[in-house]
Amino acid sequence: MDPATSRPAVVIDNGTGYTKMGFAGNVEPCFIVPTVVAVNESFLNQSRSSSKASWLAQHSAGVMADLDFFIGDEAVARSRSSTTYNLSYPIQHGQVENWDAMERFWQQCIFNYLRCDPEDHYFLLTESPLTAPESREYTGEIMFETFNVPGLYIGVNSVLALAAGYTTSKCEMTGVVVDVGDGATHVVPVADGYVIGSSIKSVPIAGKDVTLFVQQLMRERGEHVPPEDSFEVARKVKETYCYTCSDIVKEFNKHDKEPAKYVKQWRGIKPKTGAPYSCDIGYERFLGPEVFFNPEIYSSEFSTPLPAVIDKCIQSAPIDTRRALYKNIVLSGGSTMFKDFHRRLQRDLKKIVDARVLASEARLGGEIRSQPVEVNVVSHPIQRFAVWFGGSVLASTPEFFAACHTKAEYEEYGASICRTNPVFKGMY
Amino acid sequence: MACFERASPALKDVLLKLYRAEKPMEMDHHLHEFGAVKYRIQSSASDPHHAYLSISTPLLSQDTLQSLGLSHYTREMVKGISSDAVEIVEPAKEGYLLTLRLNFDKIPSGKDSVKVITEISAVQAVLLSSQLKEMLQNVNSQVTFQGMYKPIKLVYHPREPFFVVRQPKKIIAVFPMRFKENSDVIIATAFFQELMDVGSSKEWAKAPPCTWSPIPPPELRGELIEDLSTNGGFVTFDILPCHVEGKRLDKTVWSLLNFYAYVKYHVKCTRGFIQRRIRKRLESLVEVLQKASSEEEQQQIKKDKGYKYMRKMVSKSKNFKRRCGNLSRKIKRIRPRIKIRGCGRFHRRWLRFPNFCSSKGYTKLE
Repeated sequence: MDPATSRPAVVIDNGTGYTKMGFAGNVEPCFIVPTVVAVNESFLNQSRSSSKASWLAQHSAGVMADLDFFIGDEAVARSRSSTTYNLSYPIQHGQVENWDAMERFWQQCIFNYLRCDPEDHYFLLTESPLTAPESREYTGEIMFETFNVPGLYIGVNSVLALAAGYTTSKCEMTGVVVDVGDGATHVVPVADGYVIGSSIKSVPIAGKDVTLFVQQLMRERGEHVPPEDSFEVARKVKETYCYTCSDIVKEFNKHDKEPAKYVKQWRGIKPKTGAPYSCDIGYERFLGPEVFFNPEIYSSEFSTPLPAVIDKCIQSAPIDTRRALYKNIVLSGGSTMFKDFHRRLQRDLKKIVDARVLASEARLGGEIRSQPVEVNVVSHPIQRFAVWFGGSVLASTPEFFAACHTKAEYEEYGASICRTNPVFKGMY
Repeated sequence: MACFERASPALKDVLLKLYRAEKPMEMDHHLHEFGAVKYRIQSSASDPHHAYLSISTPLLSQDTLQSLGLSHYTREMVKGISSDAVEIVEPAKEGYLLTLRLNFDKIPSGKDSVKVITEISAVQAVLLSSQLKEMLQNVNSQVTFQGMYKPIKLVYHPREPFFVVRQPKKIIAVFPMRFKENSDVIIATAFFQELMDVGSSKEWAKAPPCTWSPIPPPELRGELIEDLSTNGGFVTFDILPCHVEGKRLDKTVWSLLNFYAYVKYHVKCTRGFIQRRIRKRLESLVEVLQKASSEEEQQQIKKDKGYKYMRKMVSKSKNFKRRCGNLSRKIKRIRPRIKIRGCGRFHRRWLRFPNFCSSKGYTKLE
């Protein structure tokens, strides 16, 4: 038997904002670090001189610079303290854009964070349901060619998020996953573990947009936040103070009546001068998350609220799955962590569904009464890394190792083995 | 990064999370490192001030003496980490070598807490080094039995044992190198030769002399044949008494233990580097190809519009067509990587050189 199967698999969930990594069988990931690489690019733009000796020196310096990089929090810190490092975000809108940076990121994750030999462990990576097969192939190529992993499984993150709920409540592999990450929002219906690919809906509003909106609001009000820091401040404000309200008008009134209770203070230090500053955080606390429910306050291009998108998604799914889908709407991703997000979602969705039921009853003239539709938005405390947890659960089952693409298969057939996803083919 | 830190980053992170948690956390976390080291961190909500850390490391030497448990010296070393906060629990949890009870109340607050926790997370390094240290320290004591130069086999990673040979004036550490991939062997061999060259240069006169040879060194004569069959040769370090003096001992021991991990890390980094270069090169080649194809297309359009040197073009066109044929063949060679079943027919149609008809001409309808 392969000794690698006796060790737990390494589970890495690369998100647009944060990467979650750890070993299968655990409840929490070992590390949650920003998906960012600081690359030393100071050698790229130098003028080339013609003499050979200096060319050689430049070449080796270029090689050294190529090996000089950092990831995660370290990368952010480095890029702040010196100008030689440029930050690069390998994943954008849930898709890997820069494979070089991604490879470096994985290298550091494996060797310096988890400190394991990739030849010793199976790997489980995640991808968004809309990832192109080519990109899956690339992932496979890097994992097998560079890291020489014994086995690889690429899971669809929404299915994994559903699998995370699987243990906390009941054995339910049918549901709608509302995955609101930092860079992408997807509404993915899953029936018995199969993704209904044609009904996937995406929303062009994600966690990053909330941050941008908060930043914009603070800037418009004239808070004195240093411009180079304002995005980071907005992100932290979003993570610590934002919540979902039940009604905007009421919430405005509440804030106006009791500002002392609702307005928070943010204190920081200016990065350039080191002088302390403080600013108020008012309406943006509830207006930030509101972009999901009233997108018109943020952008003019997209104006369908999230509950309506979910409803549309379920309505486009096969008719026999719809009731089950309404019953199990699972939240996943860091941007669903706002307080009362699930309550608001459930209320709004219920409103839409009830209106439809009433309309159809009126049309039929009260002759036939339909059974009430149960709408249930499930929220659990591990929402932030639900995908990772699902991966961890999946990778600790004994069937996992059989479902993996192995190194031998890769050598036999090439990277095309990664095109087919066992989840789409049905593993459960 | 020249070497691995002693403290395990994952363990440190988990312990810090536990330490900083405002409300008691229920936790049972398993960690793995270097393929053979296992940690388990347990903490319960009912007892928030204590956490249990169990460690299992491979027992380095296969001697019967040591397999009974940890030696007294090792225990002393573990106790020395932080006598207040760390307590050894007897017996250790099942399946583990050592269990520690961490007392979070006793960890000093403020900046020191990070320091103490970093020290605790280096416990695996302490455990292993103290075992190896015991062996190495005997170099200084001149007591050697005649003919007792039998190599000691150390197993840190189950796949990769290494040997320590005691000699009158020094200790020799021999690493048989094995790799799964042939390309790894090439990278590693180049690395070892480089290491030998650099190691024997003047600047590194104080470093342990290092040699690499494809055949086993004479000291290993008499060992099992499966330990001596390698595809990456043997790397030997001569460790002189000056390398195991005082504080240097710790460093030497830690570096020796992680030599395999360094080599692997280096090899994988190099592979990544090569792959990145290949990708870059491929991109630049594809760019040239695309540029060429777009240029030829433009030429073709120009030609179709018709211009003065028609006769010239006609005579050239044969040559031109051949070139286009070459190009499309090239594209075909690249293309098939992305295969869509059933699209082969379309494919062929796309790739055939497009027949442009002049705007003035017409095609007869049938």
